[in-house]
Amino acid sequence: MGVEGELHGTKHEKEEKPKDSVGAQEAGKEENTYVIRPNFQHKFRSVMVKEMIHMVLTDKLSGKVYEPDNATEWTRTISDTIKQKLKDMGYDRYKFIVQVVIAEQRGQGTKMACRCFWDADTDSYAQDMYINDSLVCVAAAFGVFHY
Amino acid sequence: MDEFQSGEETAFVVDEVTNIIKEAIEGAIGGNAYQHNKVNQWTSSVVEQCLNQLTKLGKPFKYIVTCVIMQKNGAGLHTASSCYWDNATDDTLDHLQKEYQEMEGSMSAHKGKEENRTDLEQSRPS
Repeated sequence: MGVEGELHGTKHEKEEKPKDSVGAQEAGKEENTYVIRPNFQHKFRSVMVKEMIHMVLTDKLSGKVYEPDNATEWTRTISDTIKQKLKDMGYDRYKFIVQVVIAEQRGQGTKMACRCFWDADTDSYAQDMYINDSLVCVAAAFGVFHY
Repeated sequence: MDEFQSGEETAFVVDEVTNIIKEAIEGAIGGNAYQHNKVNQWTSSVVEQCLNQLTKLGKPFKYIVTCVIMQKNGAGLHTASSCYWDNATDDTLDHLQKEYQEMEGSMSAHKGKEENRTDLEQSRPS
């Protein structure tokens, strides 16, 4: 009996103690602490990324004339720069895929298409293009949220 | 253990995916020469078909499929990609197909130049 009473007592104490913070605790329970969706401010926003891509493309390609030997290197540096900038933009828990295509301008037709199978709520992409007299460059960046 | 996927189920089987891409390209373009008014349809059906087949594999991945079709007239085409992801679970595959008919008056052995790229992402919750 004595033990039971003691147990009761402790139990009671435990229940009593956090009464002040019950509201906070319940809110914490309802609002799961696991982050399964990005916060709004951390969402991949196409407009901002597009602007960034635009700046990178103009920076790297303005005034350039197509050279077959260097174009491969350009695609590489552009995609790396965009990836690095995306990482610096603070999109927590996003994975990034950056695809860059440079084509010579010779009046030929080119068509690029993309289709994604993903969670449209969290994942997004941004794309921008740079054209001058001798080359066309398309850069697309995809952000995929890691749950 | 049921909830855990075995390595084989979650792996990106290169041969399997290469086949999917090849079939999608052949199915969409076949032996056709470059036609401006068809290219829209071709690119859409290539990516659509790829994605359809990839999702049918029933693997826990997200997929990104990109397709570039360029008319072959000697112009250069360069692509590169950078990825920031988990190398253990995510993978990418490039496929370049340039086996199309000769262009009129051109010595080139291929007509359509096609690049198809599949990036895939694992979306399994950790």
